Amino acid sequence: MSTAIKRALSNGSVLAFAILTIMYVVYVYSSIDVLTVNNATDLLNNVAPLVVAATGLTLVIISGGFDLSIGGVVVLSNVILVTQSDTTLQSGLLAVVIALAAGLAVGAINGVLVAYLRVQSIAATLGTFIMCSGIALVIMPSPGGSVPNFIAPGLNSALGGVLPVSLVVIGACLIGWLVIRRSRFGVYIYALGSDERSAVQSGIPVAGTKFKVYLGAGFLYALAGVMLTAQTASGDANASALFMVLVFAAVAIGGTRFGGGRGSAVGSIIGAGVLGVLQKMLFALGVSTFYTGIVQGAVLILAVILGHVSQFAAERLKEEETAQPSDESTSSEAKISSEGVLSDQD
Amino acid sequence: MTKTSDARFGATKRFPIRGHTGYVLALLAVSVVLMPVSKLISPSLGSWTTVSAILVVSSMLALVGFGQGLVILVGELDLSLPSTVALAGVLTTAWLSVTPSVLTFLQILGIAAVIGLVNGIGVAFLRVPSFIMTLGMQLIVAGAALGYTKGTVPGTTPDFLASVMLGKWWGIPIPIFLLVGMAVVGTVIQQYTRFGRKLYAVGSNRATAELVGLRVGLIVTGAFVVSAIAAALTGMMLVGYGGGATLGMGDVYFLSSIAVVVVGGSSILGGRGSFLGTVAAAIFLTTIATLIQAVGISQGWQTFIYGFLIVAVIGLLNRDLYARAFAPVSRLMQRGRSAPAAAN
Amino acid sequence: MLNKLRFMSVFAAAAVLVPMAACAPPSSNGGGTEDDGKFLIYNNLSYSGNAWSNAAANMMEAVANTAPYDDKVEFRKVISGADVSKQISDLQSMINNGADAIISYPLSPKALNAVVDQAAEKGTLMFFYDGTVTNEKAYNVSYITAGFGQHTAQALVNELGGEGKILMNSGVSGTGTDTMHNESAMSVFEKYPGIEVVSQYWSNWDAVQSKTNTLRALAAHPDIDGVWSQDGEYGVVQALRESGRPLVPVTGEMSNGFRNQLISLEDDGLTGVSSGSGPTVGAYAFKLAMGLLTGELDEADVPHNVEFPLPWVPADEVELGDPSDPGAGGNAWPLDEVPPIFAAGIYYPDLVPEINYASAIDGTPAPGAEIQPIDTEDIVEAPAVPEINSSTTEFPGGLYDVNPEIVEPIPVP
Repeated sequence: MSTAIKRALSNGSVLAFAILTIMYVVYVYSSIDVLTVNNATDLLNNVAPLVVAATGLTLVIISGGFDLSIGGVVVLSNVILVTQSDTTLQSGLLAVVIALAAGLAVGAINGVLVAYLRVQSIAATLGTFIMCSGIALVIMPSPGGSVPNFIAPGLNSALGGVLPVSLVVIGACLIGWLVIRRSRFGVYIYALGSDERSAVQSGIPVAGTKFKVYLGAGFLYALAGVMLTAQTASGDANASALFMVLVFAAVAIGGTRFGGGRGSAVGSIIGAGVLGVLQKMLFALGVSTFYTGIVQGAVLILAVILGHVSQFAAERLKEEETAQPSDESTSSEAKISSEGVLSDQD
Repeated sequence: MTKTSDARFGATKRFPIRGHTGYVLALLAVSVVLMPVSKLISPSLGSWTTVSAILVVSSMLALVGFGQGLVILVGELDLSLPSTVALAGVLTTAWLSVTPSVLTFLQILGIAAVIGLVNGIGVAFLRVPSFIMTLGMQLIVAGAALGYTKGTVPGTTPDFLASVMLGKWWGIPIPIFLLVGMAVVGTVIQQYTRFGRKLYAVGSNRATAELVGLRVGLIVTGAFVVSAIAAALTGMMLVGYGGGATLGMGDVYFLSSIAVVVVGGSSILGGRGSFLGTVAAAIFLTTIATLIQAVGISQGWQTFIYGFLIVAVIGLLNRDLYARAFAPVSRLMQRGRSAPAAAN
Repeated sequence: MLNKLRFMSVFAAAAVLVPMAACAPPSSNGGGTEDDGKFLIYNNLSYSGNAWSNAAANMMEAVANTAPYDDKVEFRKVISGADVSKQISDLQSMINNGADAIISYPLSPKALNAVVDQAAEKGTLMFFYDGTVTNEKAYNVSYITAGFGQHTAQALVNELGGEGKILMNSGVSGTGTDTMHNESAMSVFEKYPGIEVVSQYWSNWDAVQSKTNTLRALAAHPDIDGVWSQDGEYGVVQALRESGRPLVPVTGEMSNGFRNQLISLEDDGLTGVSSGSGPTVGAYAFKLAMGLLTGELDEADVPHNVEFPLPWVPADEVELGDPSDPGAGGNAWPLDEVPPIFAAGIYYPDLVPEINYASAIDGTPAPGAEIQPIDTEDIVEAPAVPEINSSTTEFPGGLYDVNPEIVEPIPVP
C-alpha cells in the first residue's frame, strides 16, 4: 500500500466518506427519480436528528466517556416543544428555548455525576435516561399535539426551494465541531480521552472539561429532538431505543475510537449519512422481510470492521514512519471508557 | 488488609473489602427495611408473599446479571442478552417441550454459546467495539428468532420447567433456593476459580495481563460465552415462570442487566466488583420497582422515580462514604484479628 | 498475525458489499413499477416481532394471492421496525417507487402526516390498519372507535354487580390506543362508586409481563374481585391461578390461550369476556384498497375512517374450532394445535371470508377461495376523534357510550 493511500485511509472520515459514496451510488443505480431536490431534502431531513445527536455523542466518546441518555433527552425535548407551543411563532421560539434548556439541564446533571461525583458515565447516564423517559411520559401521556409552522414543516423545507434547512443545521454542526476541535477546549477533550492520568498531571482541568462535554452533548441531543419534531410534527413520549443504537452506530462507522482520544465528529456526521443511505439502499435491494434484522446487524458490524481499515492503515503508517513495531497496548481499544484510570478514583 | 484480597479486587484502597462489602450490605439492608415501611402503602405489602415474589423475580435478574457482570468485569459490554434470552425461550418451548431430554437442553445452551463465541471473536480478535458488536448480534439473533418462528412462537412450557419455577419446597418457592445457589456458585466462579481471577486481571489492566502471559483474547471470549449461556438459562427460567415464550420476553433485560451490575458496585472499567453486589442490586431494584408500582401512580412517574433512585444510589456510590460509615465496624473486626489496624 | 487477520476481515467485508452493489437488479424494489398492468401494493409493518402483526400481514398476503387478485397485484412486504424516522424513510421510498397503494401499521398518529401528503401528490393510496393517523387524506381501518374499553369495562362491572376492587392491566403507555382504552374503561368505572381500581400497571401487551405485573399487584392487593385487561390477559389468568386465590372475572382481548382458559377454568370460577383487536383488519384494509383501485368500490362508498367491528365473545360463547376446516367456524383453537399467544378471533365472514387459519399462520391462501366483493352496506364509518384519526378538535359526544346491544349496563347499586 502506498503511503499516500495509507495516509488517506488512516483518516476515519475519509473512509466513511468512501463507504457513503459507494452506498449512494448503489442506491441511485437501483432507483430512478432520486436526484431531485425533494428527495435530497427528504434524505437530509431524515438524517438531521441523527447527525446532530451523533455530534454530541462524539464529544463524549472522545473524552473517554459514555452516554446512554441520548434517547431520553431527545424525547424530552420533543414533548416539551409540542406541549409548550401553540400555533404562534413566539410560543414556538420560547418552546425551543425551553427544550434546549432542558437538554442543558440533563447534561449538567450528567456532568455533575460524572465529573464531580466520579460516578461512572454509563451508570449515571443510564439513570438520567430512565428519569428523562419518565418525565417525558408525565409531560405527554398520550402522543399527539402540534407545533407551529416554522418548526414543522418549516425546519424540514428548503429555503428558496433550493437549500434544505436541514443542510444548514448539519453545516452548523460541522462548523461548530471544527471550531471546538481547534480550540483549547478541544485539545483538552482529546488529551482527557487519550490518557486521563497524564492529562491531570499536565494541569488540564479534567473535571471542568468533562462537565462541559456533557453539557454540550445534552444541548445537542435537545437540538436533535427539535429536528426530530420537525419531521414528526407531533410529540411522542415513547423513545425508541433504536435511535440510541443508530447514534452509536454513526459514531462507530465514523471511526471514532470508543476508548477515547481519537476520532472526529466529521466522521460521525458522515456515519449518520451512511446509515440514512443504508436504509434506502437496503430498500432498493429488496431486503425487507423477516430477515431484515439479520442484515441490519451484519451490515452494522461489517461497516465498523471496515472502519478499522483506518486503524490498520494508521498503524502501518506509524510503523513505516518510526521504523518501530507498533505498540500493542495502544491498539487495544476494547475498553469502553478510559476514565478513572487512577485506582482510587472510583 | 491482606495482599491476596487486594489482588482479588485489584484495588489498592484504604478500605478495599470493607468499602464494597459495606455497600452490598447497605443495599440489602435498605431492601429489608423497605419491607415494613411498605406497609404504609398497603397493609398487605411487606408480607412474606411480597418478599417471596420479589426474590423469585430477582433470581432471573441476578442470573442474567451474572453473565453481564463477567463481561463488564473484563471491561466490555454485552447488549445481545435480550435476544439471546428470547431465542433460548423460543427454542425451549419449541424443542424442549417436545423432547425434554438433556441433549436438547445442551443443544440450546450450545447455540447460546455460539452466540457468545461470535461476540467474543468480534470483540477480542476483530477489535470491533463491544457496544457495536453485541448490538449487531442483538439485531442478528432477534432477526433469526423472528425468521425461525415467522412471528408466532410455537410450543408450550415444558412441564419440568414449570414445576421448578412454580413449585415450592417446604413452602418456599424453588427459585429462591436457586437464587441462593446462584449467589454461591456465581461468587465461586467469579472470585475463586482461575478463570474468574483471570477475568479480574484482564479487567484491571489489560496490558499487564498480556505481559504476564494471559491469553486475553480467549479470556474475553470466555466471558462472552458464559454471558450468553447465563442469558439462555434465564430464558428457560422465564419460560417456566411466565408460562410461555414471546419474542420480546428478553427486552426488559436490555438496560436492567447493566443497571443491576453497576448498581451492584462493579466498575464499568472492569477489574472490580462482585456477584454478591449484583445479587443485592437485583433484590434492591426489584424491591423498589415493586413498591413503586404498588403506590399506584402513572407510568411516567413510576419510571422517573425508578431512574431517580438509581441515580441517587450510584451517586452515593462513592466508596469512601461507605468505607467511612463502616470504618468503626471494620476497626472492631480488625482488632479482633490482631492484624495492624488500617492506617487512617 | 493479528494485523493480517484484520486485513483479511476488511477484505472480506468489502468483498461482500461490492457484489451486493453489483448484483442489485434494477427491478427489485428499485427502478419503478413494472409496466405489466399489475398494481404495486406494499404492506408496511412497523413492529414485527409479535403474533398479531404477523397474523395480520400473513392474512393480507393470503388475500393478495387469492384469485383473481393474484394476477392483478404485485404484493411486497417492508418491515420498518420501531423507529419512526425509518418508517418515514421507507414510506417515502415506496412512494417514489411508484406504489399504487400502501397498507401500513403506523407508529404514530401524526408523525407520518407529511408523508401522507407526499403520497397524495403522487397518487398513492395510503391505508392504515389498526393504528390510525390524523391526516384526512389517508384511510384508517380500525376497531379503535368501536369501544373495546367501555364495553369490556361494563361487562366486568356487570359481573361484579356494580361493586368491587379491580386491577387494570394496560398496554404500552404513551400510545393513542392504550390511552383510549384506558379512558373509555375509566369512564364506565367512574359511574359506579362501588368500583375501585386499586392498581393499574402497564405490561406492553405482553403476556409474560402481564403475569409478572399481576403477581406483583396481587401481592400488594390480595383481595381483588376482578381484572380488566388489554392484550396479555392470558398471563393475567395464569397469575391468578398461581397466587392460589379463587379465580375472578377477567375481561381481555382475544388470545387463544385466554379463550381456552375460559373453557377449561370455568368450573374453577373463571368467567369474563374476550374482545379485542382482530388482525384480520389488515386484510380488510387491503380489500378496501383493491376495491378502490379496481373500481369495484366507489370513492363515495369508502369513508376515510372505517370502523372494524368489535368482536364479542363472552365465556359461555367460546367454541373450539378445527384449524383445518374453516367452514366449521369456531372462535378458539385447541392448544395442542394452535399456540396460546395467537389472536384467535380471525373469522369475519362478512368482510373477509377468503382466509382460513393457515392463512393467518403463514400467508397461504385458502385453497379454492375466490375474492368476495365487499358489500358496501357492511362498511361502517368511524367517528372522527381528535388526535387519533382526524384533525378535528371536537371530541365526538357519546364516543364512550355503552351500546346496550353489546352489553346492557346494570344500574348503579
